[in-house]
Amino acid sequence: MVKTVAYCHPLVPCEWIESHGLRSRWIVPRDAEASAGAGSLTGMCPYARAVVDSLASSDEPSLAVLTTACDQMRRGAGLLAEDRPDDVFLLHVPKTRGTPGSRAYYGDELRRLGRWLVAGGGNASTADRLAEIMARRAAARDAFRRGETPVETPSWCNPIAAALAAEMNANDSQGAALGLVGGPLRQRDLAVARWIRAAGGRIALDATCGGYRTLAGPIDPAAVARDPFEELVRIYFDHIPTIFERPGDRLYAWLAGQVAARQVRGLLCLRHVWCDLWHAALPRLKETAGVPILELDLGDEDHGGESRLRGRLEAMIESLSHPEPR
Amino acid sequence: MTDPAEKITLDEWDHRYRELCCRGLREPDYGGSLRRHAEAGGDRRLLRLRMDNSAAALRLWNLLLSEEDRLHRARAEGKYLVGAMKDLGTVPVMAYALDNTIAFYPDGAWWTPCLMEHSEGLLALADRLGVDDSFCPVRAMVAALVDQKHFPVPDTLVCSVGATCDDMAAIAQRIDELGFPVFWWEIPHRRAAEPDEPAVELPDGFRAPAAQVEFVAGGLDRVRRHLEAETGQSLDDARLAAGIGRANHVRRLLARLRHFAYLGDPSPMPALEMMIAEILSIHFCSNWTETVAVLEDLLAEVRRRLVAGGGHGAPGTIRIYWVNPPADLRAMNLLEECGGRICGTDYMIAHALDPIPEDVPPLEALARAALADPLVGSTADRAARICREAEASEAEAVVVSRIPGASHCASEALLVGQNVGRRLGLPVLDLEVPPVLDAMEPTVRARLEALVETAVNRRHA
Repeated sequence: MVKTVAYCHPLVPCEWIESHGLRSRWIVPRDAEASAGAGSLTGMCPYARAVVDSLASSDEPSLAVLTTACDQMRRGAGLLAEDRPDDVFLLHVPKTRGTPGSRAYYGDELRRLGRWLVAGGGNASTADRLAEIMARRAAARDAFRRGETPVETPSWCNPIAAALAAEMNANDSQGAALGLVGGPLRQRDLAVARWIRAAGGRIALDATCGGYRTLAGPIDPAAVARDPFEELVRIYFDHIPTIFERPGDRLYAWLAGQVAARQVRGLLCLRHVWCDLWHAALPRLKETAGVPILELDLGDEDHGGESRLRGRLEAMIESLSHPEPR
Repeated sequence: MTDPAEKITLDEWDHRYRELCCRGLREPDYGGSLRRHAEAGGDRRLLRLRMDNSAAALRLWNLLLSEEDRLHRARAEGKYLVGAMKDLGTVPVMAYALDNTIAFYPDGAWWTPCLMEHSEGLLALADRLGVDDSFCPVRAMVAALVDQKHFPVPDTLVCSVGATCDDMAAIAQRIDELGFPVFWWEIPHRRAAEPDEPAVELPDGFRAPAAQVEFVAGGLDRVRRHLEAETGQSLDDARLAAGIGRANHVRRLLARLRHFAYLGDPSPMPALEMMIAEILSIHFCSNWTETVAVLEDLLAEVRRRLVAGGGHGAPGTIRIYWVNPPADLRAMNLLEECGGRICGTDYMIAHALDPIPEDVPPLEALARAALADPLVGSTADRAARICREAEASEAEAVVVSRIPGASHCASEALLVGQNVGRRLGLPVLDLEVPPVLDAMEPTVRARLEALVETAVNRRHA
């Protein structure tokens, strides 16, 4: 039986996992509130907590790759490793950009991941196999970028982002075009898309973690033929704009460009409660995006927060629905 | 001066100060009555603290509370100011190896709302700057940089990222966005070496892959070149080695002080003064020479008390190991009022207490020290060190002081508690301490009393 490797961050290349003869799966966590264990951790991001709970309570024999992209997830990996030290791999994703050392470090971390996958039951990756899988995944991502909805649950992005794309494609409203930005979506967060549709708006951009923004870049076939691993590093580390990188200008520039290109009239920053990175980014986003931004805290809906979130969202769409002054 | 050890209020210090002066007290230029810090400086928290009554403690408090004046004077004298952020004990070693250069931590502003009991409005300003109370109190530094009423704006800001708390990474980015450019360098999450992978020993006894040390040394080399370009001075290996030697001198003094203060019975120096003394290690309170003098005075005082059999509290007081610095200094008083005493600490600066290796190239030595940061490794590693030290210091209970909003604190108490419980069987208390704990004092006190009572029962079981 082929082992599954679960992960939940866009800087973990699914092609690399699959080239070791293993199956990759982006974790769609159940809500932490539904389970015990780490659910009692005050101050822990609900997404990180849900991921930890899901992995800890999973009956499926699987490996998990978590990253240091945020401190909460890094420490979540520590919680998991208490009971299953051999089943959890913590990938250090360098935060600094523009230095030769950080890029090389990312490549070294992927090689270390490869050795761990082999030790965990995978096969050694070969250049040919990696190149073949990269081509297949790149084609799937290209189709997704063109607006096609994946037929099968994708392993190369957050499946919730794929479900969101289906919702975006099905919504032919001419209402205010909104963009979503922020952390990774959970199943329950799709409610936001339904609220937007009900309020007469539509989603024109998914810039959440695991969605369109964090897709690996298009491949250069010649570069893949020459050195697929080096091309893998390029399409991930060099291409994906992230919230945690320092300096952080690339994300803001990317977002401003997308807002203009897709004629987005307002942005919703979907932030899991206790996520410091997105919360602190909000003032800069407001300065650079060029459109109004509304922050929605995800994670407290069960405590009467849903109607508050929905009310804020409806008010934003209403305020954006008037024609723009010429 | 062999007066009995006492913890006294600020009012009592007025009298005590006059008494010491009459007896020929000699003070450095930043000396004087502690009262002035509360009245002219606005450090009103002093009115609620109980402080050690020794001349050595007076000098310590004066060194601490005069730092902003010292930094402004340095700026006026044309010295180059380096604002180091997060690494807690690495970049300042490099900066102090240069001439006419002072390094300090803007992070230290996190205690300003406590010392000034919110009268300074830093946290309210941080709110307005987009850094609200979902972040840890270190958010005060963004406000302090903007309002410029505390420390002068450094000539450069140098911040470590990587395996850091999200609060610090996010707030430092916000600082950069507000027009205070940050020079970034990185410390990756410290991991165990793979089988057959070359590894080196760190100052704390843990081992790290040589590749990680090399990566951090590469980042510190960028910092070195940045400082050279900024100051117009050469920061060669010989200078760095001398800087490391000076840092180690302070660390050795602190090691002796901690040894005597934490093992001595009764406790020869209170928890509060010892915590401040430990913090001096990270950037020498902007004055290396005076830091050395202050530590030597404290050490001499502790020795005098040990010889005389004096100290604070009764012999046999419950021994507590304390994890994380409390946001309110008063928490350390409270612990002692509740019948506990400190026997060991991890104030998140354990790597600034361990001597930096002097037998390897300086940048590699600094990289090893940086990788020994307890927050850079896993919480399990940190817990292992805590267990080791708690056992060696015969701790009877552990307090994990929770910093409000800090990303590492959400899971820290659970993991430390599990490890300490499993390995040592000691009671562990998860205690959240806000910047001014007065409103929560009955709760904090009750929890500390319960911990001490549990430890007493356990001792007699």
